[in-house]
Amino acid sequence: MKKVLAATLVLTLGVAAFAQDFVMGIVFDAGGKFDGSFNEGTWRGMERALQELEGEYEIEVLEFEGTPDTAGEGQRRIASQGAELIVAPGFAQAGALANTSREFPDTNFVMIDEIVEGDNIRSYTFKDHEGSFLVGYIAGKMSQTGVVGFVGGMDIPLIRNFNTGYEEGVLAACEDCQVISNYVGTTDTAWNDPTRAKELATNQHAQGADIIYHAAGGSGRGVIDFVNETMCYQPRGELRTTPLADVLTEIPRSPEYENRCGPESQPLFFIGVDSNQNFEGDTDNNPETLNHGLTSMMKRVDVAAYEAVMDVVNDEFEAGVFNLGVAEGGVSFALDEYNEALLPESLLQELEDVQQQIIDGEIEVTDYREL
Amino acid sequence: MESIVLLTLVASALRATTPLLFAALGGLFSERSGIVNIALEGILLFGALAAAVTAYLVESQFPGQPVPWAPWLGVLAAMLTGGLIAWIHAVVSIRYKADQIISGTAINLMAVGIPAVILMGLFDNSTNSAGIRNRLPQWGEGVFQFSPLVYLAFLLVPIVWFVLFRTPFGLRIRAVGEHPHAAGSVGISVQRVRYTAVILSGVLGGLGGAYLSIGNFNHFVAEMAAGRGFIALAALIFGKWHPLGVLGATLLFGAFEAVATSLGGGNILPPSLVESIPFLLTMAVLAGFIGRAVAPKALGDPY
Repeated sequence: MKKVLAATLVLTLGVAAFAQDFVMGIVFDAGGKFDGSFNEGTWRGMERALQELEGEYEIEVLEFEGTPDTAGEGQRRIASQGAELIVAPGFAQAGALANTSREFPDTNFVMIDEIVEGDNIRSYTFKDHEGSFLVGYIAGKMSQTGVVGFVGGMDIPLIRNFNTGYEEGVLAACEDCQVISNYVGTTDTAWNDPTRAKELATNQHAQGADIIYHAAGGSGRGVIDFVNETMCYQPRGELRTTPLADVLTEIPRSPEYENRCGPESQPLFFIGVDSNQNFEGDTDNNPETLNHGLTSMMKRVDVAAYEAVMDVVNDEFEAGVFNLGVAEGGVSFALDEYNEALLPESLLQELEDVQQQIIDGEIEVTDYREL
Repeated sequence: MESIVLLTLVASALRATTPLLFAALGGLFSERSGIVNIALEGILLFGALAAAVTAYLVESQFPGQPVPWAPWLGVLAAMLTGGLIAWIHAVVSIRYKADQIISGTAINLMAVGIPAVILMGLFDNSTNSAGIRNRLPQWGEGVFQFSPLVYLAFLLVPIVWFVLFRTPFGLRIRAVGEHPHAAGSVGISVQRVRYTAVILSGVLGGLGGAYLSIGNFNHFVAEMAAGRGFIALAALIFGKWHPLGVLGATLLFGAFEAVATSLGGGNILPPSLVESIPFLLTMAVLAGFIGRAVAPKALGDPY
C-alpha cells in the first residue's frame, strides 16, 4: 500500500524516481477507488496480479482519481510516464481514451464497459442484463412481500440495462411481483450521492420492498447503509410463501437485530453489484448470524484487469473486443460464507438450470442497449 | 399503505432540510453582521470530513469495543473545524478587508482539494473515508426516526431567533450589519462582533457537515455537500434573512428535494425540473415578484 501511495506522489510530482520493469496505471471512474463496487473490483483484479508478480518483477503503479472530465488528463499523465498498460474502467472515459490511445501507440489500454476500437485497446463489455436477470430471479423467488426495489445510479442506457434484466428475472420467478425502480440522478454526481440513494431505498421500503438491488457505484453504499441500519420491516398484510421463510427459521439473529426488530418482523436484504458486496451486510462481524446481503451481481471486472496485467507482463497482450456474459463467466451471482445459509439448495439448483438456459439461448434476456 | 408512503416522504423532506437549515442559520449570523458567507459549501464539506475522520480515528483506538461517544466527538470536531475555516474567512475579509466573495470561493475550492489529500494519507484513496462502526443514535418512532442532529437543527431556530432579536449581542450583530459606522460610534467593536458572527456561522455549518457524513450516513464522500451550501444561501435570501423565514425556506427546499428524489427514474416529471423550482422562486423573490428580500444594508462592505 505504501508503495502505491509513493507511486501516486511520484506521479503528482512528475518525477520518475526508481528503475522498474513495468509501469502500469489505472484511471478510476467517478465514485473513486474504494467505491466498494465497480472501481474497487477493477482495482482488486489489478492488485491480485501485482501481488502474484511481486518479487519477480518491479512494477510501478500509477493511479489517478478524478472526474470524467479529468480522466483524459489522468490517462495522458500516466501514459507520458512510459506506462505499458493503462486500465480505464467506466464508459465515461471512452471519449478521452480514444484520443489518448492514438497519442500513445506504445501503451496498451484496457477499456471496461465500453467499446473503443484501436490496435492498442482491449475493450471489455459485460452482459449486465444476464447477471441482473440471475439476481432478479433470486429476488423474485425470495421476496415475501412480492415487491422488490432497484436503485440505479445515473439514468443512462448502461444502467437501464441492469434494470430491465433484473425486472425480467424477477418476473420470470414470480409473475405477480412488482419491481420499483428509481435512479439517483442524471449527472455524474449520481455515482457519488449515497444520501440520495439512501432516501430512495427508504421510499421503496415504505412501498413494501423487502429486497433492493442497487447498480449505483459509490452511491450504492447508501442503499446498503439503509438496509443495515433498518434491518427489518413489520409485515403489513399477507406475505408470500417463499423458500426464505424456511431458511430464516434456521439462522440466528444478531442481538442488535433482536433488540431493534422484535419477533413479528421480517428481514430486509440488499443485492450488491459489480464486486461481491455480500460481506457488507454483515452488521455484527459474524457471518453465522443473519446477513443482509442476499447476493451480489458479480461482474468480473477484476478478471478483466487481472488478465490484462498478466498479458502485458507475458508479452501476450492482444487488442480486441470481449463481450462477457453468463456463458463466458463474465457475470454471475455471488455465493460465499455470508449468504450460503440464505440461498437454499433447491434455489441454487434452479439457478443452475436458468444459467444453462441462458447459455443455450432458451432464455433470452433483453439487452436494453439494443432496443 | 398510501399514508406510509406519504409519511416517508415527509420524513425524507425533514432529513433533506436538516443540513440546509444548519448552513442557512449559520449564514444568517454571518450575513446579518455584514459579511457575505458563500464559503458555506466548503464549511459543510470540511465539517463532514472532520466528523467522519475524527469519529473513525477515535473508535479505532478501541478495536472491537462499542464506543458510543465517538461520533459525538466527531460532531464536536466538525463544529471546531467549521469555526476554524470560518475564522480564516473572517481574517481575510475583516482584518484584511479582502473581497468576501473571493475569500469564500477560495475556501470552497480548498474544500475540494484538501480533503482529497487528507483522505489519501489516511485511507489510501482520495474520495472516501472508512466507514464508522459507532453511529449516532436514532431518536423517534417508526418512519420518524432521526439522528439527534435533526432535532437540534429545528431547535436552533427559536434559539437563533432569541439570540438575534432579544439579546444585546443580537442587537449588535444587526447593528453592525446595517450601519457599522453608527455602531462603531457608540462604542461597539464592529470587528469583534463580526468575527464572532462569522465563526458562529462556521460552527453551525460544521454541524450541517457532520449531519451529512455521520448523522445520516457512515462515512465521508468527496463533494458530498453537492451544492447544499449554495442552496442554503438561496434559502437565506428566500427567507429574507430571518430565522423563521429561513425555516420556511429550507423546509420548502427540503420538500422539493425529497419529491425530486422520489421521482428519480419515474416517468412522471423530470426530477431536475422539480429541483430547479426553489431557485426559480428565489429569483422571483430577489426580483421582487413575491414580497421583497432586503439584505442587511452593510452586507459585503468591509469596515
